[in-house]
Amino acid sequence: MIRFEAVEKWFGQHQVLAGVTGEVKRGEVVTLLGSSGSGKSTLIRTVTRLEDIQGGQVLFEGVDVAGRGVDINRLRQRVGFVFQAFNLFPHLTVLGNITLGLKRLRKMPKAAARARAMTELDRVGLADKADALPSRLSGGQRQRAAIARALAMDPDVMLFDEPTSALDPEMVGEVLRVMKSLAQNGMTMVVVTHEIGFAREVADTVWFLDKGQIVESGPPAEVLDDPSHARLRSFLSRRR
Amino acid sequence: MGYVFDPAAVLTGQYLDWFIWGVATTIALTVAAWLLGMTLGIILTLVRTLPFRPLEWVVAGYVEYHRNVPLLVQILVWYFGVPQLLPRAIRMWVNGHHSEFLLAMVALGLAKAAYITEDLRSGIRSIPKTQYEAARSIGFNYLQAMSYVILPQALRIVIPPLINQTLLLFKNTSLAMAIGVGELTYRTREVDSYTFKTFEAFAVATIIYLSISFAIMALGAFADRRLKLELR
Ligand SMILES: Nc1ncnc2c1ncn2[C@@H]1O[C@H](COP(=O)(O)OP(=O)(O)OP(=O)(O)O)[C@@H](O)[C@H]1O
Ligand SMILES: [Mg+2]
Repeated sequence: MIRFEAVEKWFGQHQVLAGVTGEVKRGEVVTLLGSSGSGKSTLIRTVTRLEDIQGGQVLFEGVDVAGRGVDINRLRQRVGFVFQAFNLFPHLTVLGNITLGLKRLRKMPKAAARARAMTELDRVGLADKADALPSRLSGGQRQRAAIARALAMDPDVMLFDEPTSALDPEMVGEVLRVMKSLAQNGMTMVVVTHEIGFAREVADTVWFLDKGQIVESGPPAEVLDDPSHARLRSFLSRRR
Repeated sequence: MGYVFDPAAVLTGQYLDWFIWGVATTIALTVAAWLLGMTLGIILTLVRTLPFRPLEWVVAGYVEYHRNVPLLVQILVWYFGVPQLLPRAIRMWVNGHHSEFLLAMVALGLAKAAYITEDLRSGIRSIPKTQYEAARSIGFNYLQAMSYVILPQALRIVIPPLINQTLLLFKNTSLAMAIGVGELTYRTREVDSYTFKTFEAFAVATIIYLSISFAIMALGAFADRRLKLELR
């Protein structure tokens, strides 16, 4: 579904992605581990061209996302993106956040958009907060609302960039539970996270990114329990 | 015999009518110029934030002209200068349709747009870039992201300066008397020269201006309370 082929990314003189190659299959859950600055965010942002790349290719359903014929706004509708800082729109209610794309991009009538949004809010356990402004929600609720916003567009794949890193510890669980049930329902997901437990339990594949390269990848049991790479060993030991 | 303050003398018969027409014209001019200024201000803001530098320079030039040339001069330029440049047919039509009101509205509205686009730009700058990114990630293009996500927030942020701009606009409509627009100040002068009750006439005008100004402030404060962004 998503293929990275020798992807290179530079910020000025600083190389952040140094030839990343890997594939995310339909229905697969990939978690992306790596220490701070290793390029995890940058890598998933290349999928929807929030970052442009200088070398290699990113393919979505076999099509180069930077290709001439690609309508990037269309592609972005098919790829849900969940940010560390939620990025809900503060001037809209939770419901308004979710229906905006449905009404303006999918051209759904108001009632249909509302019904669709309520379905998603139900799924993340926030139906009773539909009319609240984001400022009135807890961190965990905000992130679940942001996930519902992405899901409402009916994406083929969901990208998560450290969805629980900005949360108080007691709220991490509620967000991870939502993500886990998504995975169980067959959603294709790429998850940047520091939650090793989540990786172990939910991921099909773990990628360990170091200095802009995937230095280790495989099923969680292999990669996490028997790391061959010294940097992964020390990364994991810091998170026991 | 001593001087007797007698406002009733200027608030009867045709003089009362003149005041009413003056107030109506002042309000109409304020509202029309405000709508023009807001619309154009928003358009200029969208244009100048496009990733194409020369557009920014054009808007900057526009802003500098309107902020640095006296408003009265701008109004006179529109009234005496611009119609000369128009094709004869349009000029005739404009002259036959209260050209002074129309041209005053254009002058005031264009000047207002320059201030509004400055306020809006600083409002936009205070919105985190991640909001724009989130909008683009849903699949909105630049214009949609601006219209549905960025501008609605920026407009809420700039309500306080917008109230100020509205007050200034309201007061500046009095400059339109210079080209014969029958707004409140113009009508007051008229009442004055017919009745010789100078003090009464201008006292009435002053009270009207103050009342409307207070109404604008109250309305603005209400809008600010209702619409202010809750960020935390
Ligand atoms: N817009 C930018 N301009 C310049 N350098 C950048 C930019 N964005 C990221 N970088 C740099 O690229 C490198 C990789 O950043 P990235 O955000 O992808 O790391 P990460 O693995 O997600 O780290 P973290 O765990 O801290 O989120 C870092 O050294 C960072 O400083
Ligand atoms: Mg990151």
